[in-house]
Formats: sequence, C-alpha cells, structure tokens
Amino acid sequence: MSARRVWSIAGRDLKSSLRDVIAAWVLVFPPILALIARLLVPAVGGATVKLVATPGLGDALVDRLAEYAAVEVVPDRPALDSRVLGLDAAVGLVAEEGGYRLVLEGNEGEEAAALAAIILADSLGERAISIRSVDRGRTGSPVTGFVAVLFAMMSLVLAGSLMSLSVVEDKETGSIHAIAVAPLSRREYLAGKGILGLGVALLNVSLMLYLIGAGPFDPAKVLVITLAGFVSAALVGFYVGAISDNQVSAIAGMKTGNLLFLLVPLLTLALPDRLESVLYPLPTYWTFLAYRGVLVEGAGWPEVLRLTGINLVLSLALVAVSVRFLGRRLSLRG
Amino acid sequence: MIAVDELYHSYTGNGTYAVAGIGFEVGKGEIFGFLGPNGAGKSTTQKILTGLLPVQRGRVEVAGHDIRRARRELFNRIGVSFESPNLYRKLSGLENLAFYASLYDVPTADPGELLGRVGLADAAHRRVGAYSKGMQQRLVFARSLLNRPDIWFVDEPTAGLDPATTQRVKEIIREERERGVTVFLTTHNMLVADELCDRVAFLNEGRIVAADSPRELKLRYGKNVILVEHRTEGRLVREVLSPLVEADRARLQRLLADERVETLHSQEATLEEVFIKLAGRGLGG
Amino acid sequence: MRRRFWALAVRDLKLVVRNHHLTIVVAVAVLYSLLVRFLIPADPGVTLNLVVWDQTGARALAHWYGEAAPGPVLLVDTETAYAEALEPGNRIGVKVIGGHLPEAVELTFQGHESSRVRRVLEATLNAQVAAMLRGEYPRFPVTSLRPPGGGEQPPFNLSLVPVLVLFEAAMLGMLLAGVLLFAEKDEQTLRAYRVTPGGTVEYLLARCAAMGMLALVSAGLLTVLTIGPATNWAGILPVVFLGSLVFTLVAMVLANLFKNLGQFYLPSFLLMLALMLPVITYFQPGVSLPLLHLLPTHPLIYALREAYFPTGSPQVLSRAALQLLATFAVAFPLAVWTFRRQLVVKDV
Repeated sequence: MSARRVWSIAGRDLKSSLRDVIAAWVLVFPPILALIARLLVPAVGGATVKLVATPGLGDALVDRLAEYAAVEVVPDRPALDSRVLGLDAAVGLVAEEGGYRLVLEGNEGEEAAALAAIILADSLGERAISIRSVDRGRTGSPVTGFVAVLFAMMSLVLAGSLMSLSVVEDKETGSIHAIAVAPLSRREYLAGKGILGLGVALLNVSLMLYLIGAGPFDPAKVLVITLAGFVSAALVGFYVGAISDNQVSAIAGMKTGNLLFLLVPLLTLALPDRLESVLYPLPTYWTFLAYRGVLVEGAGWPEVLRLTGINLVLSLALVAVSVRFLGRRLSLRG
Repeated sequence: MIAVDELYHSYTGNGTYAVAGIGFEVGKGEIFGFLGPNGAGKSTTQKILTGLLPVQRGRVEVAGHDIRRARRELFNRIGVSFESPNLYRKLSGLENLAFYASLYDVPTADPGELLGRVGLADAAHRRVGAYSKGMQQRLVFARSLLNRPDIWFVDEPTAGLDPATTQRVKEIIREERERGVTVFLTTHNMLVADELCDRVAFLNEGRIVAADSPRELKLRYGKNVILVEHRTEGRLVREVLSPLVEADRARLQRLLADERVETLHSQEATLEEVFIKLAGRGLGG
Repeated sequence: MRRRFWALAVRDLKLVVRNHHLTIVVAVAVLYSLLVRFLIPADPGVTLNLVVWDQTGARALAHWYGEAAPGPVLLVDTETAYAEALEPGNRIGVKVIGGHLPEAVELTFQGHESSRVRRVLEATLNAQVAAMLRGEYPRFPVTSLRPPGGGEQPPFNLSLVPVLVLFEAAMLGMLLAGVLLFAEKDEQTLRAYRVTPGGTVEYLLARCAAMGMLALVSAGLLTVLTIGPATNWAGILPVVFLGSLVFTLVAMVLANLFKNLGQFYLPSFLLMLALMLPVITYFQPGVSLPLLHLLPTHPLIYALREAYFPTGSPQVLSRAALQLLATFAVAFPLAVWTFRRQLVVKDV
C-alpha cells in the first residue's frame, strides 16, 4: 500500500467531483439544511398551541395571550371562522356578552381545546396557587441536540453517497480500466475513495453542528463517534458502488441504502423499549446512541467508548463478511 | 431540398465560430457528402439542419421549411442516423424501433423488416445493451429509415463496421437514392464519399473550401500527379510529385538525371489528397 | 398526439421496470408497511418528562400525577433525587411546597425552554391545582364550526401512513423522473427523439402520467398493507395522482439545470426535504409557520389525512385537488418552455 498512490486517487476524485459541482453541493447542502433547521427549531421547540382572535378581545388580553401561544389577530368573526376552518389546527377566541367563547373546527384533539381554555383562564384570572420558576442555566436545547444528531447521521450518509457516485463514475467512464492497468492495488484504490469520504464526513459534521448551534459538547467525543460511524457509512457507499453499473442504478441503491441507514434513528425513537433489541445488530443504531449521548444527554467518555466500541466491533464484522463480495465486484482486474 | 445560406454558429459567443458563413444547396435525389476533419464544423452544421441546434445567424431551409419554424410536418419527412449509438439499452432492438415508429404521423416501415435489412433479424428480441458496437450502429441506421424519409441525414454510417457490413450499408444508401431520397452524408471517410456521393463539400475550420462532384474536384485539384518509384541507398522509395509545384518539378528532374527512377505513373489524386491540398492538413486528426 | 403520448408513457414504464425501480418501489412500500404494522406502536406514549417532588403532607399533587397524569412522571422524595432526576436535558421539575396542602409550586426549568412553554406549563399546573383544591376546571362556552363527526385521532402508527404516502408515492417522481431524464441524456436517446415529430408537450405529459401510475401503485400498496382495502380510495388516489403530476414536473424542470444525475441528486433531495416540512405542523399542530402553507405539500398532507381519517371536512380533499390542478396548469406551460429552451441551448 503506497500512501502516494492513495492520495493521488483521493486527489483525483476530489478534483473530478469539484468539477462536477457534486462536491460543492455536498458541502453547500449541510449548511443550508442547518440554517433552515436553525430557523425552524425554535418555532417547533417553543410551540404550544395556535390561537386566532378578533380585535374585540382587546389588545391587553391579546398581548397577555401572546405570552403563552402564537396569536393571529383577524379583522372580524367571519375571518376568524374561516381561519379556524383552515387546514392546520387553530383555536378561535371571541369576546361575547359576559365572557369569552372558544371557536373550534370540531376535529381538533381534546388537548388543543383544553389547552386553549387553560391559557385563556390563566391570562384572565388569579392563580389558585403561587408559582415561581427557577432555571438550571442549561441553554442547549434537546430539540436542537436531536436535530444535530440526525444531521450528523445524514453527513455520514452523504459521504457514503459521494463514494458510491465516485466508484460508479469510474465504472461508467471506463476509467476504472485505465486505473486497472496502472500499478495500483484494489486496497489503495478503495483507501483513496475512503479518505475523500472521511474528509467530507468530518467537514460536514463539523459544519452542521456549528451552524445548527448544537449546545456545548466535547469535539473529541464527536470525532471518535464520527470516525467509528464512518466505517458502516463507507461500507454502504461501497456496496452501492459495487452493485451499480451506472448512475441510474446507483441512485436506486443509494435510496435503499440511505433509507436503511437513516431509518435506524427514527425507529429507535418510535419503537417501544422492548422491541429496541431488534436494532442491536445494526452499527448505525450504536452510532445514533453515541451521538445522542454526547449531543443531547451530555454522556461521558466511558459511555462514548462503550457505544463506539460496540459499533466498531459490529462494523468490522460486517466489513470482514463483505470483503469477498466487495472485492469481487470492485475488482480492478478481471 | 436543402438550402443553406450565410450560416454561422458560435458555441462561445466570443467571436470564434464553429461554422463561419457557409452556404450550399442539395437537390432532390442527390447524395451530398459533407466532408472534413474532426472539429471542422460538420456535426454542428448537421445539428442545425436537423433542428437540434438553433440557427444563430443565416438561413436554413429543409424541404421547403425554414428550420427556425420547423414543425411536425418536417420531422415526419426527415430521418437522422446518428454517429453515436443513441438507443435505449434496456429495450430490445425491436422495441426500440417500435417505440420510435409510434412517434410518426406518416405510414412507417415494418420494424422487423428493417431489422432484416440491416442483418439484425436474429437479434430483434435481444436487449440493445447486449449488442456489439457494430450492431448498435446498424440499429441506429435502421431507425433513421422508419418513416421512409424524403431527406435522410446520415452521420458516419460505416464507422467501426466490418467490410461486409460496410458494403451492405452502402447498398442501402444507394437503394434509398434510387427511391428518390435526398441523402446528406456526413463523414471523414473519403473512400465512402468518393464511391457514393454525387457532390461533396469540403469543410475546414468552419468554412467550405470546395464543393463539387468528386470527379470534378479530383480533376481540378489532382490532375498531373506523378507517382515515382526510385531506388535510393538500396531501398525502394515511392513519391507523389505534382508538376504544378516548382519544388516537385525540380525534384523529378533530379531523380531522372540520377537515373534512379524505376517506374513512373501519372495518377488521379484521391479525394483525401485533394483535401490535403486545399486545407493544408489531413483528415485523420 | 394520443398515440405518441401512450407510446412514451409505455416506454417510461418499461424502463422503470427494467431498471428495477418498480421492484424498489414495491420493496420500500412493503418495508414501510411492515414497520407501521408490526414495529411502530399504536401509542408512542406522551413524554412529559416531569419530575415531581411533593413536599406537602397530603401529597395531593403527587397522588394526582401518580394516577391521572398522562405519560411518565417521576415522583421523588429527596433533594438529591430531585437534582439527579433533572440531569437529562429534557426534564422539568415540579416542587410542591406547603404544610398539609400545597401553598406554592416551584418549577425547575433547564434553561432552553421557550417562555411560552414555561407560561403554558405554569398555567396548566395552576389549572390542575385549582381543579384539585376547588374541583373547578377552566371552562368556556364552545362553538364547533362543524358537527363533530368522526374526528377520532388515529393510532400513532397509522397516522404515519399519510406521510409515507406523500413521500414515497406522491413525491416518487421527484427523483425518478430526473433519473429517467438523465438516463436518456446519457444514452442520447432524447436527441433521437428530438428529430421525430414528437413534441415536448406529449413528452412531459407522458412522463407525468407514467410517474402518476407508479405513484398509484405505491400508494395502493402502502394503503392496502397498512390501513386495509376498505378505505376512501376515491379520495386518496386522485390526490396522490395530482400530487405526483406536480412533483414530476418540478423534477423535470430542476433536472434541466444539471449536467448529470450525480449533480441533480443532492439538490433534489434537499428540495424533497424542504417540501416535507409541512409534516412538522401535521405532527405538531401548535407550530405556527405560515410560510409552509405556500408549499404544494401543505394541502396535500392534510388532504391525505382527511382521506384516510375523515374528520367530516371532505372539502379539504376537493380544495387540495383543485389547488394541485391549478399548480399543474400554471407550471406545465412553464415547464414546456424551460424544457424546450434547455434542450435546444444545451443540445441534449
């Protein structure tokens, strides 16, 4: 294995994907996503219920209500009715003789109506009990943390996709044959592709976490998790590259591979605890747990190393199982 | 059938032209050869004539239609055989032809029959992805005849074909001409052009440097070429010399004086030699 | 025109089948259905993540939380247990102070909670204490604009079906139409098409129709395997088909901006993610993001919800259908124009 040849493969891939603007997209894509998320996360994390009011409610009450929820003020009652009938759930509030009335569409869950009533009552009246709030001073939002975890996983997937496309491009243009007649081993070829993918993964994860404003975390832990997580992402990338002869089938493969990769964190959330063991054999499950540990739960080194260790053992086992198949499909020479 | 006047085309828009003010006419039932080296502007011209590239400057009429306003009617009357095998690789040869046949509003040739005509009857149901390059080439050639075109654009029809198939392709082109089809043949194969074309135009660096029948061109630019075989330092050397060129005349006189000449033939120039003379370069590059 | 349209649509479907895309569509639909049916629970459990330390003698609030509160509430008895329980970043502490009965409540927030979330929690707590102490709960007269028909919340796993149908069926063309276009550019068959009488209109219409049919297959499979065969097909299928037409058109225009599939893949994926954003309000009705209402996916997701889980507002469906149809009618000439221009300028 010659480092010079590995680097020249990585350099050539970088050049060709830069020229193809693909790499540019891979690098522009995460920041755009992160910025969108940064705009949306507060709206999502801070959301309670949507209220619609008419001016008849009075400015003072509307201002007080706005401390609890998003309030839209519409000019009159027909406008309020039509807003309440809109596609999304919004509860109307109107003043009437001797009090207030809630206007519902009729299909909201009980929760939204009850919450609107509680908010209205609280902003109108005395409290039954004195309530004060204290703050633990932690600013890292778990929603942000969670989105950061998903984005980190997505960065790994993107790196894998880039590797798939690069292998397939070599096949499509026939340059894989030109490489085959040069003194280059398959291992050097794959290592070259891997280095580029790893670089993209590290850069993307850093950009994503920085731009989304993920709370205070230890970069060294994220680095360790990303390095371990990259093994399975690269494996998916090479698999897709190995079985696809052209970009069309590569897209099909990427869709399936990426789905399997990203489905895991979503399943971890959706599955009841007793079924979570279904996911144990998947390295991505452990990548997800480790990222979540660091970015949401503030996990320490022992936990990170335990999860990363399991991840690495599983990933390397998969690599060992795949080596023959991948070797055959990605063979440079006949 | 085809009239081109003062046609220009630039890909860069910075004053460099791939086609720089060409003009020619092709009559009905004529085989017109469009010859030139790679990059001379042949493909660009053909693309403009078939509506694939817009007319930037100049006038192009095909079958009486201004190509800028080319409509269905025109495309029902022309056939284009591309140089590259642009086929659906996942469909069979027959499926490819049947699909394209269904796009025309005019009666079309039977796809099976066409396949037979280019020797692909046995491969009709095989996916094109499994065809050899030559077979794909023949399928593209056959496809361009689906709508029994009046005007037929044929781009490098014999490139990469074996001698027997080349012969068959040339026969088909002649048969179509018999039917009254106007053929616009783009090629850099001078032998094919010489054999088939009624008239040829030489294109070089975006300009037509000569246009006439092959015979006329050869007579005009190639007469009095002399093939000399002489023995020098024990080796037999062949040289083509033109009595019109001062240096060649001197050379011939020297060879005759030295009594080294073994044979001496006057020879008609090939189209390729005519082109080299006109363009100052060969066709290979 | 009609003959050409069908020839083009059939060719697209043949290519989809032979490139194994249909297999993938079916496999993905089956995979999702299995997940929805067997792995994802009907009730995900509400994660309130409240830590309650009731210091009063009667421990009335603790009892109330122990019995009546939805979702997991952690009851603790000591200062250290309280502090420890609040360590995970998504927990909120409720310390009830008083003698026998509660006199005051101290809420411990982590620090990242929005002021609205805090105020709503205070209000809720106040309402609960008031209900406990005085037996009264905030009540106001209610006008329901529609007769409360149906309107039952679907189980969590099935509530995912409209989202999956939107993403996997209606938006199928977003990627696949581009894939087919690039395959044609690559094989240069588009160039061969351009010298036939076939035009851009029937070409685009046929691609839309083929993707629409595939979307119906995907939606049909997803629906039958999750909800079952007895459902509002007359509502689901037209909306999916129309949605597919619009997204296919989007893909075809977008694809023209790129040289190859590799370049097209990420931007279109990004666009798909952006188009999926209305799903946030679908799951979190309290979120107010009016900009998202402009996306064509917004009416679509609510129309699908109405089709699968009717709440007695069938006009949501017809309105979405009209909106999609109008979008298509406006977008189609635009697509034809850009498509023609791009093909000629770039000589594909």
